[in-house]
Amino acid sequence: MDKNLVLAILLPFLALPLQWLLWPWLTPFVWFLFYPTVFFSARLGSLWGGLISTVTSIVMVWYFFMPPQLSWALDNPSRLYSIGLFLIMGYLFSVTHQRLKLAQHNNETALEARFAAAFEQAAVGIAMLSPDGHWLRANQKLCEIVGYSHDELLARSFQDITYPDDLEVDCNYKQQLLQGSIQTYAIEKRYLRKDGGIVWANLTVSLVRHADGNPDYFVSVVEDIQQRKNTELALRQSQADMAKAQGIAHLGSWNYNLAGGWVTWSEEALRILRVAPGTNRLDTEALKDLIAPDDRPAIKAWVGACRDGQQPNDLVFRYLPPDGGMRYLCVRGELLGDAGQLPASMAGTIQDITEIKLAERAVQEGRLKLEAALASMSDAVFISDVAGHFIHFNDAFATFHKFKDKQECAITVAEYPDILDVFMADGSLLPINQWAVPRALRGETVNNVEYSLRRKDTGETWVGSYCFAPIRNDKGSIVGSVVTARDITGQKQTQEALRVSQERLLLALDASRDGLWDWDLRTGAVFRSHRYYEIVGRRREDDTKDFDFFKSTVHPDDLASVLATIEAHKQGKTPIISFDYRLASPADKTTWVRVKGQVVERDANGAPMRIVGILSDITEHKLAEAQIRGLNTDLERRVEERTAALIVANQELDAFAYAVSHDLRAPLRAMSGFSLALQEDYGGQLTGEASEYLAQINVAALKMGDLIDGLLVLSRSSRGELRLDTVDLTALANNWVAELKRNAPGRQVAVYIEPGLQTQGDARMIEAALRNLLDNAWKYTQHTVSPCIRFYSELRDGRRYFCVADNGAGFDMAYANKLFRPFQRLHRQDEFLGIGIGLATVQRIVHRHGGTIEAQGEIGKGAVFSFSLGQ
Amino acid sequence: MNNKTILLVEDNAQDEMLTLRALRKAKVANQIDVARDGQQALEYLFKEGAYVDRDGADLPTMVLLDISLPRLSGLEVLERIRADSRTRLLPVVILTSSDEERDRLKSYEIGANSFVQKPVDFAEFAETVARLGIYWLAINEPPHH
Repeated sequence: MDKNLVLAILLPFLALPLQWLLWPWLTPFVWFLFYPTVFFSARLGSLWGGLISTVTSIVMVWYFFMPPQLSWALDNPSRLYSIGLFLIMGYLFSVTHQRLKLAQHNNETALEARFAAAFEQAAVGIAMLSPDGHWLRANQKLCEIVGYSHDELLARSFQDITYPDDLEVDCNYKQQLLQGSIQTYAIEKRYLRKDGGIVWANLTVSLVRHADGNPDYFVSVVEDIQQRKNTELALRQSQADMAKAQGIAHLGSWNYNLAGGWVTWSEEALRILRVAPGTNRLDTEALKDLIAPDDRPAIKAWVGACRDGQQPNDLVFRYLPPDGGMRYLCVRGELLGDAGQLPASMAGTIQDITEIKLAERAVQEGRLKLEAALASMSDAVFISDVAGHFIHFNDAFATFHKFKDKQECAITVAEYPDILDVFMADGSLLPINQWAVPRALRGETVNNVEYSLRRKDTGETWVGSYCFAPIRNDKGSIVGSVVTARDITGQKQTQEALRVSQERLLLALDASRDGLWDWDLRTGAVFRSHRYYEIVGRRREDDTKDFDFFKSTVHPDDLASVLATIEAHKQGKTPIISFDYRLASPADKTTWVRVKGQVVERDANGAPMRIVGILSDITEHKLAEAQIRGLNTDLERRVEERTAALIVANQELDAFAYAVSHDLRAPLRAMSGFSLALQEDYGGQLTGEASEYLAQINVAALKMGDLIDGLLVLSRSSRGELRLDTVDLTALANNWVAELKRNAPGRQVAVYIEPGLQTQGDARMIEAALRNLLDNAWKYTQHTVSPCIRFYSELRDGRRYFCVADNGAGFDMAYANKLFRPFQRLHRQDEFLGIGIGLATVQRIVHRHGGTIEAQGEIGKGAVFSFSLGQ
Repeated sequence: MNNKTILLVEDNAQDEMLTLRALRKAKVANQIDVARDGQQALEYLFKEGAYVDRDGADLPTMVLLDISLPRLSGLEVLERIRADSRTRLLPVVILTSSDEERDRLKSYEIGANSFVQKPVDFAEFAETVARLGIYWLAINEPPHH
């Protein structure tokens, strides 16, 4: 039974207890709650509901509320009237609601029919689904879309025919609809067709609820979009292919909408422009800021030219990407649209050519660097093409070939045989095909080959060290040559000088019989020459090439001092190493050797790195040395003995002379004194020859005194120290002659004394000698008529002689050898007084000065005494 | 002039006689005391030994001193004379036979007032002594004590 009808019938039973409870306040309106009850029962239950509710309500009111209550009695007959009125009104409610319901039903039926027609004939699939997803209704179109018959479809849920990947999205949306959070949704989803295919559909769903708000059913509109999807897919594929192609080509495309003022960019174009993907529409204003200001006018002109229908050349401009930096971009483009039509857009491509630009610049810079490098090189560098034509050559090339400058140089190798001769090291003339450039062009690569060159015009010759190689292209074929040449004439000369010097050194070393050693302190390695092994008496094969080998050759007793000497030199305490030591040789033979050497290299800290030196066998030298030392010792001893004896003799002589000077004189003085006293005091008493005898005693005493004086002078001239003074001979002679003249005022003697005579020697001795000679000259001219004395100097055999000459008595050269002996006289006392000791004294003095004296004389003509005083 | 004494130090009797004679001849009237060796000369000067009770002025006006003397030589005597404050300024004339350079130098070094060689020739000797006497006794002003 219709639950609305039941509710309609039950409503009076609900109203009864309520009115019963409220009755104290509702009295006397017995129908108070029942009018509304009947109205709603009629609305719910239509005719029959209304009528039953009306009757039920009358019975309840009659019994429970009409006084007397709880009885069927009526207190007033008018109550029947109110009952009748309620019954009529109940009937009217019921009929009215019955009518209303009928009209509504008719209306709905007509709507339903129209809806069904529309439903079935719609161009889109429409379906109703229960909240749990079962198909309630589906139209023909939907059946076509999914390929099921109507009945087959209704036997399935929507989940059964939804493509699994799309199911979750669909279910989620439906859940949201059920919860009321959305009113409707639209998605694109795939359905599984009966034939197994997939169909794309646009699905729009809304929920129809019951009047009470509970979900009733979903209405789904399904639009078949498979074709669109196919087109889209094809388009996307085509776009992807396009993007890929652009990506590969790094070529972006663009389209300039002239009316709209915006530019549409391809994905690759955006990558080139370095703007975020998706920003595929950049208006021209925004773009302007990204172009280097200097290039903006050029861009404007280019766009203008394009717009005018010209086809301008590709334009390269500098672009400043939003993320910084600078790129070179190249655009090309043209106007789209047919002639005569108003063009709507321009299109073209864009390309990032920064790398190309940079590469171009790098090539350019590389070229400049190469030029600079070539110019700065001191070696001649020349690069030729395959024909031997010099494409590049530097200033050093001109210098090397003795040209005045680069302009003067011949620029193909073929011209050079007229300019130069080229020789090999052995002096043979080289044909041109053996020169560096032709050899390089034949594919040879050579380092450091030496050629001698000679200029044909000047005859100048020099030596060049050449390196050359072919230049090949990427396919490996020779396209040219590169040659460098260095003038090594000076180097060669130095090398030659070094070689000669080394050879000389080696010859000298061989000649000196010395061994050579060279000790590298960094590695500890020691080189020794073959002579070294001969000296130390060891075999080269036994050499460990280190310092230990050296130590093994040193006599154990000498080792400590040898090591100390080497260490001291290594620390820089001695300028050279030089020491002698004995070899560790068999006991019966002692070999002495001498090492001399020097640190020849030190590092930055002064630590020695290399010591070089020689080793000499000095055994014989040592023996000779020992002998000489022995002889020297002996000699020294003998000299000491002799010297001691001489000293004693000299001392004795000294003492003797001293005694003579004191003690021999006193008796003479007594003889002279008393003989004179006798003469003075008793002269008158003496007779005859007595006075004469006394006088002779006095004369003898005086003579004896002169002899003693002479002996003392002679003795002193050979004793005592020899001083070294500067002696003015001229002054000495002048003074002494003046003295002589004073003592003999009666004599007229012509005296010539050479001015400016000087010598070195003991002043007192030289004065004594000179006085003696002048005395003699003075004495022996006393009988001459025109006496003349000369003192002068002369140079003989490189020695200076001082001469005292007179024109006096002279002497017989036959006795000349006796002149200088003590107490030897060539004249009698009655001719010339004298004791014969003066010239002996002079000779002693001259000899003590290392000089010589000689005498020339002739009887009656005079004499010349010449003396020199050593150096 | 007469109260001035001369001390002659001379070991050779002949030289002594000749010297005294020469002085006499030269009219030198002063008292002449004679010492015959170095030791005696010092005792005389410092009033020691045999000369403790010596009469007369404290010091002689001058000393004529021979070099070669027995016991103490003339040069040693001179050194002692110069070393003593009492005789430091006493005029001393070296009178000797020697003409050795070293004697002359040494004499002057240690403070001799004169160095005179006795010549062999007596006439010359007498003249020398006479001149000495006159110079030292009459002309020279001795330092005052």
